[in-house]
Formats: sequence, C-alpha cells, structure tokens
Amino acid sequence: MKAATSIETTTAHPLTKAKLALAMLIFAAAGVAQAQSKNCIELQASAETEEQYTDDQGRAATRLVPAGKIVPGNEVIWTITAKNVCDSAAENIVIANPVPEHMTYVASSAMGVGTAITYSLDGQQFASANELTAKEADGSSRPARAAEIRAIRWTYTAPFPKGATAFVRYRATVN
Amino acid sequence: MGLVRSIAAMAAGLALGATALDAQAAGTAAGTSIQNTAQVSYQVGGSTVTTSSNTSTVTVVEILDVVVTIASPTVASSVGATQQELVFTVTNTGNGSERFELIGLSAGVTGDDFDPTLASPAIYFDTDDSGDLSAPDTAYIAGTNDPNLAADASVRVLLVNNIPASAADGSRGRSQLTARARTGFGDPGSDFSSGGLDAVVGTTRAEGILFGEYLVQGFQLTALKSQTIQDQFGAERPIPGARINYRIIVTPSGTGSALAAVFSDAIPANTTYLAGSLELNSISLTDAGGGDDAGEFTTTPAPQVRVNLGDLTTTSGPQTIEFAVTIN
Repeated sequence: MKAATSIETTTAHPLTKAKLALAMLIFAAAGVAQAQSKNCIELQASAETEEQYTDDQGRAATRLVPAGKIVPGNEVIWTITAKNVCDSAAENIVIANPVPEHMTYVASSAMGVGTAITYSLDGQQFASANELTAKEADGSSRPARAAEIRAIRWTYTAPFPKGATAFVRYRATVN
Repeated sequence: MGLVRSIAAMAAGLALGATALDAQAAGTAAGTSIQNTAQVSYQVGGSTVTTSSNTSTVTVVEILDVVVTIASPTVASSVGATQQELVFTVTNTGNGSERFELIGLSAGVTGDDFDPTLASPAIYFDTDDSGDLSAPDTAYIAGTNDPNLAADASVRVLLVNNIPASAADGSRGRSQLTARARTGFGDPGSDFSSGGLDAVVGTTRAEGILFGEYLVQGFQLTALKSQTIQDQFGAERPIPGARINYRIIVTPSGTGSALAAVFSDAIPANTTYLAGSLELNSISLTDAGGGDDAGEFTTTPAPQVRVNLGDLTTTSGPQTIEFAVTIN
C-alpha cells in the first residue's frame, strides 16, 4: 500500500502579497492607471469528491474531500473560487471553464449563486440550458444532451465589491 | 488474440479522433492526468481583464476489473474421455495493463452430478487460436506466465479435464475457471498499488469466476443378429443351396444421437448374397447404390450390404435390417 498523491494542485500564478505590493509600487511610480494590467480577481480551481461518513450523531452523511483515487465512472466536483483582491469593485465578471478532457458533465450540476449559467457544445457559442441545441447529421436541431456540453460560463449579475469572494461549481464524471 | 484486438481498438480510436481514446469499455487509461484551468473576465475602472486560475490536476488511477466468459457453457463428452476442454475468454475490463492469475477447480463445484478430474496441466492458452486443445497450445503455469493484458485486451484459455469412468450417462460435471488481478482483488473500492501507481478494485471485484459443464452422453448403438436357415428340402439344414435369413436389430440407447449412422454387414465366406433380399424395417430396398434408397449391395471392397440409418436417437427406436444369402 502506497500513500501516493493522486491530486496535485499547481498554482500557476498566485499573486503573492509581496509581488502585488511591488506591482502597485511600480505602477504608481510610472503613473500608469493601476487597473490596466493588475489582476483583481484571483481564481482558484479545485477538485473534490463526495465521501460518505457517519457524523457524531451516528447518522450517515456526505462531505466533500479533496479528490483522491479517481477511477473511470467516479464523479469529481469542480469548484472555482473567485476573490476580488483589489480596492475597487470588479464588474461584469464572467467565469468560464471547459469541461476537462476525459470527463463528462453531469446534467443540471452547474451552480453559482448570483450567476446566469450558459453552456457550450464547442467552446464558442453559449446558450442557456433550455436553449442549447445540437445539430443532427441531417442538419436538424434537437435539445443538447448533458454529455455533449464541453464548456460552462457563469455570468455574475452584480459587481464584486472589494474583498468579495464567490464560487461556482459543477460535477463531471471520469470517462 | 489480445494483441489483434488491441490493435483493432487503436485503429478505431484513431479514426474517431482524440476523444475516442475514452471510447474503450475500460474508460480513461490509468495514469491519465485530467487537468482543469478556469478563466475569468471582468472590468475594473472601465478596462477588461482576462485571467486564468491555477491548473488543478486529477490523476486517474488503475481500476481492477476482469470478466470471464465461456464459448459453450455445456459441452458433450463421454465416459472416460480424456483431455476434454472448456473454452474460456478472460478480458481485462479495467483501465490499465494487468497480470491475471488463473485457477482451475473441478472438485466441489456445486450443482452438478459428478466431479471431472483436472488434467495436468489443467490450463492452456489457445496459442494457435484454434478454439480447442492442440499441440501448439502453451500450458499455463501460475506465477510464471500469468497473462498480462492491456486494458480491454483478452486471452482465450482452455480448461482441460478428464471424465471419470464412473460418470453416468446423462450426468453433468462442472469445472470452473477463476481469473484474478495479480495487483489485488476483493471488495469494490479496495485499494492496492501497482508499480508505483495506485489501483482500486472495480465492481467485478477484480475476479472473474465461471464454470462450464460436461454432459456425459453415453449414446450407444447395439446390434443383435439372428439367423434362420431354410434348405431346399423344407428343413433347416445348413447344406449347399440352403438359404440363411439374417435379421439384425440395431437399438439406440442413452442420451445424444448418432449422426448419419450407416449399417454394414459383410456377406459371410462361402455364401452368396440373395439378390433383392435386403429390407429395412420390413420395407424392401433395392440392391443398387447411388442413393435410390437407403440400402445397397456392393462387392467393393468385399461383398457386403449397407444401409443408411440416418440420424439416430433413442426416440428413433430399434431399426431392423434383414437380408438373405445362400450357401455355396
């Protein structure tokens, strides 16, 4: 038995506080509008799975745990957390996530408080769930199936004030 | 066979494009990294910014699954027969390459009438892909040549038994094959590690168990021959010129059938076949061959009568053949 790490979280560009401070300093010195290229929304993606456990009352319950040993057929819960790290409000926030390769979107699983959710079969054209159609070989249209969804987009209806945090989530099974 | 199948699967995958890699029954291959990066766009102070998240990675581990199938669940055999094979196929339905242990069991499989005896060796690979036990087939030696199957690959395995002389006609004897993932088997969800890669037991318990059955068919044809003599003086003396009437009753017994049974009987030395005397079930048959009816008299290679009895089972009942000769 080997305690292997089967989930890795590579932090591609966490803007450390030190870096952030440095960036602000440079922009201030150069007299450039600081919002121009500074990143205000920090985005974090994480993979979790549901775990059944017995709570302290002896009842069966479910909780989310970091994705461990994933095999075909398992369901992964993807959570994308957004945080406004700037002093000013961020507006028109849109989070987008392609359903990862080797995975299939689970029907009706996308959620995000305060968002309008749209879906895409090709990553280009997005539509709401009830307007999403797929083309048949003969050119006719039909409602799209969940398994055909390859990208999801969450559009926030309200701005993020300074320090605001929100998350969106969906489930996908490993093919 | 496994190799051929996996090449075919690969070819199909190429034709269908990248996502077809997931089209195999086993699912996404063990060791595959699933990576996810989200994007966000927003406006601050009138400028639009787009940025990405970290890349979150999930690695698919090996799922251990195996399925055993049998070509014919029941095979006909006979009392005392040796080297009788049951033809199984072991398929790796997991998502990674895996070695499987094979186990044959004949004593104590429940639900049958007798225990076949495992031959030694008892398990062979159908090396020449002939579907039966033949000279080129390689014997299986546990731990030495365990089949190593890629995801979705399969191997044909022969389980070989001898049928005891005590097995009764119409009785059934079972023999079963078990295939188990070498990495581990047991309750679904049990985890094991395999060559540095984690492995989890799937819904098949990573163990395939299936029995086949030998049906002993003690089908027999018994022939009872009787004769009467009529001499030319009205008596029953076997003198030259006397006629001997032969009657042969062929009786099928036991289960099963004799396909295209042919009765033949040589004309005894110092006698001559009496032309036109051949009968089957009291119906005259011509002496001519060539299929005008079921019977014929022929002198090739030696004088004899022949009657085609067709397919015989016990329901066919006794078949009575009559012919006559004269003593020279």
